[in-house]
Amino acid sequence: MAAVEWSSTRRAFEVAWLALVALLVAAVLDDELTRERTGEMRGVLVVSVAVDDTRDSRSGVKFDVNLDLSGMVDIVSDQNTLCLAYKAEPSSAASVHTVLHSVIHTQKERKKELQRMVAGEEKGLVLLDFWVSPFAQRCRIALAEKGLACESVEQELLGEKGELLLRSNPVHKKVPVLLHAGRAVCESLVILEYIEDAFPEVAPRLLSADPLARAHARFWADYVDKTVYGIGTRLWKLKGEGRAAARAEMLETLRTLDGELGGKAFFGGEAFGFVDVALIPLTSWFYSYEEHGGFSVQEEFPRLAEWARRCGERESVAKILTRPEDVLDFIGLLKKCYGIVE
Amino acid sequence: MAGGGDLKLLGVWTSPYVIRVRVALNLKSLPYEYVEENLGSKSALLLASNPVHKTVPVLLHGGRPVNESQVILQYIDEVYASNGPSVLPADPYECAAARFWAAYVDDKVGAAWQGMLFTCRTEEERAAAVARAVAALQTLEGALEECSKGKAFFGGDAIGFVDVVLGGYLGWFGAVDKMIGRRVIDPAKTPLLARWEERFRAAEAAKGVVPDDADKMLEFLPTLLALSAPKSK
Repeated sequence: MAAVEWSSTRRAFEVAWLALVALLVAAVLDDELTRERTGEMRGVLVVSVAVDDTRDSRSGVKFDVNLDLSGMVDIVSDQNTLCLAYKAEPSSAASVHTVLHSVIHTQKERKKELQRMVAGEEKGLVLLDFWVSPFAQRCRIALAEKGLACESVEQELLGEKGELLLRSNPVHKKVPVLLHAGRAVCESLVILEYIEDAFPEVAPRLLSADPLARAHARFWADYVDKTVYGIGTRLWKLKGEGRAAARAEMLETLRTLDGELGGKAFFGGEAFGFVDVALIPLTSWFYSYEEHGGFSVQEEFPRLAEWARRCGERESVAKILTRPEDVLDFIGLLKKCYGIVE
Repeated sequence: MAGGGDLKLLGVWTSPYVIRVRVALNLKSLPYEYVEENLGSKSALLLASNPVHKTVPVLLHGGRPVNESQVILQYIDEVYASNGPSVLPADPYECAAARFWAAYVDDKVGAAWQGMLFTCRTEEERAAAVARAVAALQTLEGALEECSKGKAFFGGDAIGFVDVVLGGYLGWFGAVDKMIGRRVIDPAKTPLLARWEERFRAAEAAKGVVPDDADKMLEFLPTLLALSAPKSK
């Protein structure tokens, strides 16, 4: 995010003013003011100040303001960055103050909204989310496929978990959680079934009407749940024999899935369905698994790779899946958290 | 109307996952052929029917296999909807709650069950696994209170999804109780569950299916341990 260079005493005064404003903002938002970069992680909103100073570029004080707003503010620009560009004028500090003030106001509105959600007053669909969670993405894809409007509320998972999450999922304290008219549904596959059941008139159906086909779909979704993510985690977390074992299991799993898919367009046949929704978000993690395991899904399981591309052509999938590179970055972040050195 | 075709269940009499399916079939008064599998020498039918996991239970309906106990339970509900009450609630939200708690049971209680019987190498490890089960049961005590709304079962007046899923473990809990000299479902810690256990065991659908002979199970345990086979689900 852009650093600010100030080149005069006047600027230094404005730096102090900005710092004060930032502190006020932080105090109002009850958020921690952190001076450390949080990197390229999406979902972390960075308020950065850019100065278009055409007059004097001799460096003075570098000043960054990073606030972790956990996705609670409306996104103003494309990269989840609220960029305030303004001319270097005496009034510039005041304009910054105005923009930050509207940020504060939006934040307050969001806080009230969340309080209503906690109180169970919100009527619509809300998903407690985490940007990289493949399990949350299952739910978002299903809702998007069905054209069901749902508000995604990004959760703080690496730090302290929010009240709404803890109240909605006291048993596991995990995302995703679907709130429907304030009532919480937890566990992604349970949520998928709930969406089918609660909106029986809404197309497309992700589960067949035929009980045997439903049983097969549930079996394979359960298989995906028991294997891919857990084995994948061992693959990047462990080394040596542990990693080798995980690699072998991952290949076995992908081989089994590839075999089940066979020559079909989707796991259920002609139509995108339950098992596809369960598996497709995990394909964003394939790149990371390939990097850690030294194999290629395209080479070993071309049918599965083709299926992933076919699913990726769907608007819901294209919009919702995390980019594989971002997943790899996230894993890098987790490794740092766990003290794992590659 | 129930679809035509015979029902055959491949199982092992001690498996919690098999027992729950048998209770569900009994609840619907469905006749079926039961085939006791020897896990040390699995039948060709089992291996062909469940090539992915090679485990019991396997329900064969008109020769077509349905695998994974919770999947089988839902299949029975859907195919035999007119054969009496379903174990899963009709209301979508209550159904989601039932699925959630059933998943919790197999995740927490199931893992602890494996630990207390099959993967522990010392009495300390067994005790630790029992402690994990007790902790999970404590959470389920709260769930029972919530789901039953003062009635007999998680499913209310009648046995439901969570009841059959948890009920499958009762045979082994009886055996472990004997091994460790105290109850896994401790009436002092989980009084609602203790009373629930009595009612479940007494139910018609559980008769002859939920083992009540702890000695017989303990006799069978070494056979199972010797197999070191992947465990049934």
